[in-house]
Amino acid sequence: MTSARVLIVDDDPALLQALPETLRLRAGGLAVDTCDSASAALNRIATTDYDAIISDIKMPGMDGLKLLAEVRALRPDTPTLLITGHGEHSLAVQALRGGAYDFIQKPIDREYFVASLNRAIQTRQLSRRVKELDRLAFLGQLAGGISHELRNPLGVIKNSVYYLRMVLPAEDKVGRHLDILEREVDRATRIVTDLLDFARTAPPARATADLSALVRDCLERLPLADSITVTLKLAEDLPKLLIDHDQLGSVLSNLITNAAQAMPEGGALTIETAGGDSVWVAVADTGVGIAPEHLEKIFQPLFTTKAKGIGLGLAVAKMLVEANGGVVTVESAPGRGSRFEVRFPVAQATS
Amino acid sequence: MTVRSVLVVDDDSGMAETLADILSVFGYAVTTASSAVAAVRVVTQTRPDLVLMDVRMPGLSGVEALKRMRALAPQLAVIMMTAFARDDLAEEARRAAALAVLPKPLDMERLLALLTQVARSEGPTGDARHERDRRRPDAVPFE
Repeated sequence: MTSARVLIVDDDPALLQALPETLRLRAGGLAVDTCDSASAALNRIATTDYDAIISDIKMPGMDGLKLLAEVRALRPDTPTLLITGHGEHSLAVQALRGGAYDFIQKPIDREYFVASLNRAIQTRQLSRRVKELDRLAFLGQLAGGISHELRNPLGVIKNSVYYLRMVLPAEDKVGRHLDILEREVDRATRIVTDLLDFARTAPPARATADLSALVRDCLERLPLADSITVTLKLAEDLPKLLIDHDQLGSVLSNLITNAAQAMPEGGALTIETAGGDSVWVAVADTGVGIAPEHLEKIFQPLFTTKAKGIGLGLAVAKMLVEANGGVVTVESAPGRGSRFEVRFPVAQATS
Repeated sequence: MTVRSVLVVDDDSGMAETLADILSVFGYAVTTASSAVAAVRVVTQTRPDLVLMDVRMPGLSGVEALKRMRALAPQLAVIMMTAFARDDLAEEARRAAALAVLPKPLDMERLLALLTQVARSEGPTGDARHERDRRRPDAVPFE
């Protein structure tokens, strides 16, 4: 729960200081925001998707129960913990009936508070993950359906072009237009294939692989502009990995193609492999970089900053890496370049 | 046996027509059918040398038709086509001894090579080879 963010709402400055301190000590890595009124809290909640909210019930102006009702309407998936006075059982019951995740009695039992909050955050993160998976499954079905439907008409156009090329004299203009048709049909087919890759949930066909060799194979197949200088820092004798060659090849092509596209005026592409506690490959460019606000979205399906493209490349790459037991991460500085790293645990490496 | 006559089966008329026209240019005698039922009927009546058939069609599937054709003509060469990357029916077609299951859009070079291979593996007869070559236009940039 390192990435969790919670909001504490209380008009009592003492508690507003003590509770974050408790969380800092007992639930490290948690980001904690505080508000001294329910109305201020609502503004925060409107813009931030908290993993949990902790609020006192008794506050001047809008009280904790009203805040709870607002949160339920605004962010129905966000668990809310309400703090009640000692022995205020009827308020506690009201809180639970109003949809509170739990109630914390004063004086606050720190251990109970932290345990309850941890449970709330875990529940929240789990439901978020389930929603994401649902969304992915839906997108996958949609993508699969569309791409299957498109393959037939594309196939027919391709056949027609083939036929025309055979029977028409290959004079200048006609030949060129047939080339254009063919190229565009191939392009559309590639997009459809990307969609299918995304829709496909094929389990990886794992075989032993050398990451450095995979990089070399991949570069051989990818035409890069002359304006791009390629530097390879490939480690020899890396521990062999048990991964799907095609899937990893597709991930590498995607990362390398993206890197090249990030440097339309040319630049330096550096591909590095290394092994230690884990085996990793990094693809770095000196291109346009990624804005900080886009950084966490780039692996989401259908997110794209490119003028052309449907935003599936990195989503597919992430899915394939994870299906093979790896992790993909990114660092980027706008205007300076990006570095994508794919890392596999050494447990997955054989000897 | 050399492949001379091909039955193209696809419920997509554009697909059937373009394939028929291309194969005709290469000298094959092509008939088309737009459904699996019609295809089985054609096989019963005319026994083409080879059937090129879509896996998924409304009504009777291509795989079902393949099985019926096998019963009628055990030696019949059948190539299946599928627009689906992973297709249970395509798997079934492989098990039912389809010569090949080709993905759509079709790689025409591969299809043409397959047609020639069928001929070779079955032992080409000089006449048929000759006739096909004669009817093939000179401008074709293959082989």
